[in-house]
This record gives sequence, C-alpha cells and structure tokens, in this order.
Amino acid sequence: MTTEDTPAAANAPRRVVLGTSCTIEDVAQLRTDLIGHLEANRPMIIDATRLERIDTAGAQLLAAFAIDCLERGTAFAWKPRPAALEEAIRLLGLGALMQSPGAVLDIEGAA
Amino acid sequence: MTIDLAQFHEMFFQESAEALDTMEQTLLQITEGTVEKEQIDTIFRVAHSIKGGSATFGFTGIASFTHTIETLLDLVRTGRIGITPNEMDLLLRSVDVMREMLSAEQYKRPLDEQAVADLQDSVKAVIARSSGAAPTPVPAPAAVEPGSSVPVPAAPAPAAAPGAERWRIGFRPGENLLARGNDPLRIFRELSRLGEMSVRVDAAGLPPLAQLDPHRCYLNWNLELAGPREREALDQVFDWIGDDADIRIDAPVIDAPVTPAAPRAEGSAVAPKPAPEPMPAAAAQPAPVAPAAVKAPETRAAGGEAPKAAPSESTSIRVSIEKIDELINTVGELVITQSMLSQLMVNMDGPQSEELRNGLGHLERQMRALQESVMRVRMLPISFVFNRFPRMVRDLSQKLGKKVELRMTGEQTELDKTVLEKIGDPLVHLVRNSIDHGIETVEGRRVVGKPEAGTIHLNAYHKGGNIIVEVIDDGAGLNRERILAKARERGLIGPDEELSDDRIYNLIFQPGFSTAEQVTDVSGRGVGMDVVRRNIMELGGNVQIFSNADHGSTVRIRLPLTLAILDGQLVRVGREVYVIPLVSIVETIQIRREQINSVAGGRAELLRLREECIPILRLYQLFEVEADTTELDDGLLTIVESDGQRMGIFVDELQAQQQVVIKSLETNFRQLTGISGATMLGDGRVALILDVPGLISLFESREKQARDDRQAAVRHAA
Repeated sequence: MTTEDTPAAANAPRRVVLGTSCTIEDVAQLRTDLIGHLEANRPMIIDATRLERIDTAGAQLLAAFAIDCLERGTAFAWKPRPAALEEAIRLLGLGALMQSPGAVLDIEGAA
Repeated sequence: MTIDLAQFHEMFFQESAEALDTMEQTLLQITEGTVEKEQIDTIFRVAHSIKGGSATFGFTGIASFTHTIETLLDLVRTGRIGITPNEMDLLLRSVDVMREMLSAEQYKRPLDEQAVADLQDSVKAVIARSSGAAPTPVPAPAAVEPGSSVPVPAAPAPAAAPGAERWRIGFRPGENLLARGNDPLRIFRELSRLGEMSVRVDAAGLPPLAQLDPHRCYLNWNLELAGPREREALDQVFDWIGDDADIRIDAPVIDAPVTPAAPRAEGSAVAPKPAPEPMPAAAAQPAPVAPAAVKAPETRAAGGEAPKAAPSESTSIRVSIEKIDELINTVGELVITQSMLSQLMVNMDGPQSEELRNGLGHLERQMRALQESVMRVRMLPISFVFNRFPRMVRDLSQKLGKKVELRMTGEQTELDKTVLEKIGDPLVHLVRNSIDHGIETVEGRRVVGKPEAGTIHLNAYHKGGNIIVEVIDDGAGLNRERILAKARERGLIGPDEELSDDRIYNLIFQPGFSTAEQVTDVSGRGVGMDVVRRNIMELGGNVQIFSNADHGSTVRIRLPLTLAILDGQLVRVGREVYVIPLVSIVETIQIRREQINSVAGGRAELLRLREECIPILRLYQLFEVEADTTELDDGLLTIVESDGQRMGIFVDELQAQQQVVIKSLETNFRQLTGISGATMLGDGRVALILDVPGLISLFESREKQARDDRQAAVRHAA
C-alpha cells in the first residue's frame, strides 16, 4: 500500500493506494497502515485499482476502516471498487458498511 | 505479522488422509451396478472437501484433479452414469493418486505428473462420453489461489421460482476460522451458485480498527438461499468448516421469493448506489449512507467483545499425540509417587496411620482408574488398520486370478496408537501370504470340494490384558512335509530330528525360509515372515501359527495393549533390582551344578535342560555389581527366549511381578544395548528394564569377541 499526498492544501485528500492482494496474509500490515492514515485525520481516497485478490479477512478490515472513518467524520471515497472488491462486498453483505460518504469529497477533483 | 497458512497444512493432510480412507471403504462397499444414495453422497463429500481445502491452501494440482473427480461423481449422483467395474477402477485409482498428490505436497516429494494427467484424462473421457457428442466442459475449480477472488460465475445462479423453498442459514464463525484457512467469502460464493441468496451481516462485534485482531473473524451472517432441494447440497458447502464455526441450517420455508439484498455488481468498478439491505431486527449493524446515521460506536460499545460462538455439537476434539504422552507421563509419575507413599506407610504406626492408610488405599484405586482412563485416550480401534485390507484383498485376488472373500470381526477392538501403527505392516505380510500361498485357485478349490471363493478372516479381541489379532484362511494349510524337507535341506534341523507340529510351523519364521515353488512379486521370497515375527516381538508380543492340511491356517498375534506399561518380573542381584519383561520369560529354575557344562576353557557356561543347551548369562558380571552369590546352584536361573533363542539369566532372587511404567533411557540418557528403559520402584529406587533380544545379542557379541581374542592369543603364542 502506498500513499500519495496532494500537495495543494493541508486538508487535501490523501490517496491511499491498495496493493494487488488484500488477504489474510496481508491484513496485519494493512491494518497498521490504515491506522496511520486514520490518525492523519485527512480525507482519503482509497484507490483499489490494482486490487485483484481479497478474502474475508481483507474485506472485514476494510469494513472496520470504513466504519472508523464514519465515526471520526473522516471523509473518504473509493476509487474505484474493482470487481473482486465488489464481489466480496456483495457476498459478505458489507454493502451498507462500506458506503463512502461521497457527498463530502469531490473524488474527481481530488484525483 | 503475516499469517502462515502452512501451520494448518498438517491438519488438512491428516483429515484428507482420513477422508480418502472413507472414500475407499465406501467405494469397496458398492455392489456393482447399485449405488446407494448415502454411499455416493459420502464419496462426493470427500472429493468436494479435499477440493475446497486444497484450493484454500493453494494446492492447485489437487484442486484441479479433485474437481474432475467431483464432476464424475456428480454424474453418478444424478443418475446419468452408473458405477461399472471401469468407473470403480478409475475411482479407486483416483483415491491412490489423490493420496500420492497429498503426500507429495506434504513431504515435498516429486510426483508422477504424467500418471496424474493420464488418469485425469481417462476420467474426463468418461465424463465426455456420458455427456454425449458434445462433451460437457469441466470448468476449473472456483478457487485455485489462496485468497483469490474470482468474479461472479458466468452462469447465473438458478433463479428462485415463486414459492421456492428458502433455507435459512445462521453462520457464526469461531475465533480461528480465518486463521485455519476457512474463508466465508469462498463458502458464500459456492452457496450463491446453488440458488438466489440474500446475505445479512451482523457486525455488532466488529471492534475499532485499533483493537481489531485482523486474523479473527468478528462478523456473523444470516443467509437465505432459495434453490437446492436437498440439505446435503448445503452440508457439502460447509463440510470443510468442521468445528470452526457454528452453523445452523433451518428447514426451508416456502414463501414468496425475496429480492436479493444487494444488486449484482456485474464487475462494475463504480461504487454502487447505497443499496438498503434487509436488516434483521436483532442484527445491530451500523446504518448505511450518511455519517450522521452511523450507530456503530454505540452498538460496538454495547456489544463489547465479539459474540462468542455457540457451543459446538461436535463430541470429539483433535489433540496432538505429544500432549497425550505428556499427560500419560505425568500420570506415570503420580503412580510412582503414590507407590512411594504406600511403601512409606508400611512401617508407620501412630494414631492417624490407619486413616492415612485408608486414604492411600482410595488414592491407589483412583490412580489406577485415572491411569486406565488416560491410557484409553491413546487407544484407537483396530479398524484403522483393518480398513486397508478390503482394497488390498480385492486387488491381489484379481491379480492372482483367485476368488477371495474378506471377513472382518472385532474391528472396534482398541489398542495403543503406537502398537496400532506398527502392526499394520506385519498384518499386510500375513494377508498377502494367505492370499498367495494359502488360498487355492478357483480350480484347485473346486477339485477338493471347497467353495470357489476362499475366505480370509481378520479377527481381533481382548484377552487377559492383551489384544489378540488373528489372520485365518480356509486355504490349503501349511505343508508340514515340505517345511521339514526345506529345513533339513538348509541345515536348520538334523536329518533325523523329529519336531512337534508347533515347532515345524514355527520354522517358517526363520530368516529366508520359503517353501514357495514360485517366487512372485506378492510373496515367496522368504523375506517377510521373519520380519513379521521380529516386529511383533519388538512390540512385546508374540506370534503363533496353527495349520490344518486342506482346511487352512491361523496366525495368532498377541500384543500388549500399550507400550507405556510393562508386565515385569522384578529380579534382584545384590542390591540392584532389574525388571525382566514377563512375556520373555519361559521359566525360572534352581539348577544343580551337574547340569552345567563349561566350554571354551571355562569361560562360557551351558545349562543342559531337557535336551537343550542354554547359555548362561551372569547378570552381576555383565553389569559389574556385587551379587549375594556367584555359585550357580545357590541362585536362580531365569530362562528367557527371544526370536527362538533361549538364555538363562543368573540372579540372586525373584521378587514381585508387577506392572511398571516405562521411562525411556534414550530420551533421558542414551540408548544402551540390553536395556530397554528404566522404571521407578515403590521405594523410590530406579530399576533397569532388561531388553532380552538386546541381552542375547550382547552376550553373543561378547562371546565372539572372547573367542577371537583366544584365537589371536593362540596365534600369537605359536
């Protein structure tokens, strides 16, 4: 996972790029990284373009992250949600939990 | 920290091996042309489980192979093909190949890929034929890479017809579900292929990210599935879960079809519109969409920890053998301590000594019960060994063109796991011998008026603290005269020496002894029966053979129930006490001076006993301890036997016979020839347990060394 800051403003969205794999073998490191992003207290764009593999452990971690964002009032958006992620969300019934408050973030503008 | 799935491989391999045994046994129970539904379901479940597990762990080859087998089995299950001898043969060979593939993964051994591919092609050909001119393609297994996420299958799930049955499934993962390689996502994907499915997640237990253990599953699910008519279809999907989740499948309800909760994304990479999912009243889950509506903090706080998994209905657990041995060892120590306390009480007087004695009596009884219970944990039914024989008898009899029926009784007789593991090979030798040499050909049996099919009967039962295993055949029996002639030819007995039937039959246990006129690749090379006896003797057992010409033979094996406890005879030499295994003792006698012959210049002594010359081993000399007496007619001679050889052990005194708990010298010190272990006596002293075969070989090597030394001295003097 990598992070790209948009240099324009301190409160500009931070781009969080997920790797190709988000499975039980990756979740420990990913959790640490996501906690770091949460603590930065900046809007985020979760770029899952490269994501190819995800399992329940990965989907659960992203759901917990999304809820934490919502609780903290941290705006975030998915860009994009690839097929693998969509399928996981649908099959695990996580659609409602993983909603991004898109209204508070101009995805296109940030990208 | 990343999780290493390899730690769960061992369990997968073990469970797969057991499952393949079940598959093989069930296949062998199938009568040609008639397959019971229960049988084919059992076989299908095995293939399906191994496929699921191997896909989870990334064993793509196994997943692919089992997928093909599963496809064939599905055709049988749906009645599109039957099980003819050809399919039976393919399936039994597939069992062998799956064993090989698993073994190759487990032990990182090379695999005959070509053999696997050939068999897989043969199975695919059967599948293609059964599907008519246009073969049904066998799609690749759903998941072939750990954690991989395959898009929704092209073929949509069957739509639920109005009024279709809807199964309600509650899925509560246990703590280790994910860590053990079970992925609910994969399971739900399989379920979704059975029919229209709606999913409701309960995330009440999901903690904040900072408190979340990412390897643990905090989510619970309630699913509704329309489609499958048979409960088995659902059970198979959950088959690999075992005890790692609480799964509740409620009987289907027939109601109006329910719209699936979330729309199919169809591979879209765009965030879907908020799709209100049907949420159960009880499922305390954050509401979707607007941040203001999120109730997660309250629900999570209220929920506290993740909900505990409901108690499993399973009645057994898998425990490592090391843990059991540790328990047995501790109980053994307790027995010794209790025995020491009892010894201390013998000479104790005083007002409370009677009460103490009673208490110790209770303790002793309870300890015995505890010890027996703990020992029972290591016990397994002998069916674990017997189960390999139906296949073996089938294959061998086909190969030799004989008809053989196998009968097994007493399969539930239990014995120690270690004994069980070591008895398998000797039994294989015996059964192979019976089929090859014992059972006659169909023609041969017809000539002597026997039924065309011979019978091999495997029987097991408990008798007097031992287990008896018998291999009985109704074949031609041992040829007494041919054995005698062969023994004379090989100089094993004198030309005019007469032996009892018992002694004659025992000659077949001599190394290299075979009366078979033809050496086959099944048996007849004379290697085997001596190994059989040696293996059984090493387990502390013995083997007897009975035979009746034209009526068959019986090989009877007696084995101890456990290797942790030994029935021993305590003998004293000076201040030392030794334990001789009772099974090795023939008799103990007082001898007279005139029965002794000295040979080799007085360096070796032989006892003449009933036409036999038995070498004498003075234990005090061997172990360099001070004995009460060195005069042979003042002490006792314990005659022991191993592998047909006898020896007299000279001791001062016989003491009690008792069960002793064996402590390994090898583990705590090092291996010593002639000593198999040690035990703690009631008075706290350590007694060495004598290893009779080792003592005999030690005695022989010392005698040989002495002989060589003498010859060297003679040559030197000359």
